Amino acid sequence: MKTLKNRSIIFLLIILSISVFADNKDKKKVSTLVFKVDGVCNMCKKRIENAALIKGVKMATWDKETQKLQVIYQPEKTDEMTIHKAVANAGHDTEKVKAPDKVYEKINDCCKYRDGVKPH
Amino acid sequence: MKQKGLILFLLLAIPFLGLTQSPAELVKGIVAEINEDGEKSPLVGVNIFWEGTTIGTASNGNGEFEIEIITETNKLVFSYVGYENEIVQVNNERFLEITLNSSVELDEVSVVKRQKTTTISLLDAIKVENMGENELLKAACCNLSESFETNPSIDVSFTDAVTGTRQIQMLGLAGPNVQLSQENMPGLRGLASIYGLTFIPGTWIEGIQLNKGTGTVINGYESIAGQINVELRKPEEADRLYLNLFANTESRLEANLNLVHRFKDEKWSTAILLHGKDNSKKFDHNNDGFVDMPTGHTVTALNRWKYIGDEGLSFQAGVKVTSLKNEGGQMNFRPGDAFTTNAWGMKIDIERLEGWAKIGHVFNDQPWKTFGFQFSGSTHEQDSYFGLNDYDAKQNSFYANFIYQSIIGNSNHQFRTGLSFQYDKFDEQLNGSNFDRKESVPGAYFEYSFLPTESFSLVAGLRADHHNLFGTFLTPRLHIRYAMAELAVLRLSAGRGQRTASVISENSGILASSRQILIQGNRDGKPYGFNPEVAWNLGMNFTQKFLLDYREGSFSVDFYRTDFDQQVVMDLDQNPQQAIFHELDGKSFSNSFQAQLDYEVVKRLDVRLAYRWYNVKTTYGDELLKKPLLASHRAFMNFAYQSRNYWKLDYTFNWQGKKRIPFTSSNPVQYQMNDYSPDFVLMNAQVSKTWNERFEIYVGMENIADYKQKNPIIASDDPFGPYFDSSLVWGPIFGRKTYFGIRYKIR
Repeated sequence: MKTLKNRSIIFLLIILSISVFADNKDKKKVSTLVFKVDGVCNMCKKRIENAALIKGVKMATWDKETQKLQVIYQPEKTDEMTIHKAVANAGHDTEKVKAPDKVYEKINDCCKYRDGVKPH
Repeated sequence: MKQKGLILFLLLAIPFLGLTQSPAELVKGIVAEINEDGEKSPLVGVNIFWEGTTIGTASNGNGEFEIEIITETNKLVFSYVGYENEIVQVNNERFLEITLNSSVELDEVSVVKRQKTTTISLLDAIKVENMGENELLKAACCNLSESFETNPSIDVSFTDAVTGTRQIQMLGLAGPNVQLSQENMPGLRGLASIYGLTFIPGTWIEGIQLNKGTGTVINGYESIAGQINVELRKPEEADRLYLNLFANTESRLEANLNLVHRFKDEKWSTAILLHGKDNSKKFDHNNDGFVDMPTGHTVTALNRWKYIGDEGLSFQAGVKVTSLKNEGGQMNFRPGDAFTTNAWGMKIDIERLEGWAKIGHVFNDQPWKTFGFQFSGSTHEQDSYFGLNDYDAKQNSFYANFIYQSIIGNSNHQFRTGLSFQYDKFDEQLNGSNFDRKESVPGAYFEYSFLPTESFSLVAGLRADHHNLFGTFLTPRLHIRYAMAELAVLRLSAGRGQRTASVISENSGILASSRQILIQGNRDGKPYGFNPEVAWNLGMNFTQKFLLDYREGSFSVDFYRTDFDQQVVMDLDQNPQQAIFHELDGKSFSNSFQAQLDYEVVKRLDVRLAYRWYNVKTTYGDELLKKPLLASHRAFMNFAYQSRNYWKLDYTFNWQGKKRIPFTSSNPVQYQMNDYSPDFVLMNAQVSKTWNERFEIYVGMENIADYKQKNPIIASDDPFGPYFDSSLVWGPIFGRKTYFGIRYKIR
């Protein structure tokens, strides 16, 4: 029991140091992109953010009030249009790419921003 | 006000824009509504802007407007509070006649926007009740221990009938099982776990976050029943001046003054918070020969500084000093009678000094990445006597925490990790016996948050700490959130808590009795000879928010189970002349259920109804008994009304069921109590009126029905005899009290 506990302390310390140092070594260049995405609710928010979190995207935050999506990504791994397309493919129109009608039809009724559902 | 200014600015600016720029194409028009007589009447100050841009204007006194045509869009938005938005496509038209329809919905939205006094976020994995400033104002008085009057999750009771000290309980467990932190740093521990609550004045508090059950591992391993975090006034945003004066009919006087200064560089700010309390008159309303509320005074002062830099760096530091002097006991007691049997008296002197600092850094280009250092230190000295019981204690504490926060891959996988260190040195003396201890606990922790979808999230934390007296131990904690609908959330939590019981200071009420204190700990080198308390907590809660008739409401139910593996039990049932402390040998648990409904039944009238049930049992000696002096049933009702012209009315109704009273049947008949207390009702009410959002007057009444526990002190006629006991308090010891006060603010 005692060795288990001591091992777990060492294990935690190792995780801690790896996560702190590995994370900081990873100083690859990142860029920030902000563009408008249509959506109305918190369910949309998570859908938009998850859609934007493709390979190479570190963080995606959509604001319901301003309808703006902020994306922080690594330009070496992805680019602006790919992110726009990824979001549109989840059913949300972006500034540059319109979502395919088929996908839009499938999103929840409470999220149907094209059909007059207001932000809620 | 701001909006008017903006409109004025826009109105003034428009002609100049026209002059300075090359003549651009304009759209002109008029905005109106159809009034009750069916006629068009112009609307003033309607916001008119091109959709998705900040280019806009407002209609003038005749409802007229003009706006430059832009190439980006042809959709023109008309927006006015209380009216439906109108979006018009402008193609070749150069003059528009717009009629807006008033909308019931929008009108109500402006009401809903009125901030709820207590809010619960549906998005966090941990259920946190956020009590804002307005919740605290419902009880005008006066410090943290009195702030929970309108919160059904917390029970407040008196430790004894002599010192007037309030203690809190959560899930039916005593206050020290709740981790109290100040701005997320564990603060009120050990000697301060009971009295410390009175050292945080209500006017200093910006908000209280309360969560039941297990918490996060970031702030330590100590919480068993739950956690309460207090956020104090922040120099960067608090009112520049805030004055509060309070008096009640029992000659309690309080003065609070907050002063805030923000420096011109917009980086530095500072706040000075002052509090003074004075109770000078002795009252004995129940004619038992004892002062109802001790006389004395409390002075506390805090100064804090904050620096917010451009590069994501922030720094803050503060110091706080507290001095409390209280005297009580028999009406005829004079300080010269101390430690004699001339008269029974008590004195508590506390001096406390605290300091803290925090450094935080956010990486501007990687906003998910932050690190922070937290340091705090305190020294606490108590000098006291209760009749012939002499109790002096000192505690020095130091705390450090390093927190690093970042993501794994992307922001759906977040983690926080770090190292902490807690040091405490206690010197306690009770009637010549010394209880000294040193605890030093370095620890490491890691907490992972998984947020894959809108409806599910999970927080799993683990910490390992090495205690110099108890060895290494692990603290796992888990939180799961599942949203079955947009407004309905189910949460589960499970986790371990461990703490060292400071048996004397946490049970100081029994010092105000003739009970012989027997500490039956026999583990060498351990605090009081006892192992630490260890408990597991399992919880489940469900919150449903709803919108009914355009007014917001919420319904929640929760169930928590706490199981003690190890506990230090205070046993008052073996013998009414003894208080025996022993290690738990058998079962000890708490089951708690609560249902609560919050709804705005009529415009601006908020109602809160709650019911809670406890089953808290502990093995005393070899018998599993209900925890004494705790009501199994409690019902709660709060009405809060606010008129359009800033009158506020608040009414709280509190029913507490019967409570078990420890065994007294071996006492002479006149010194016995019943096995159970009766149930009783407590009611409070308050009225206040605000002028110009600056000046406020409030008047209130506590215990309107004037219900009192008749003889809270056993053998008050013979305080040096073997039967004297003031610690069996189950009900209110003060009758009806009226108070009044003023508040004055400058933004």
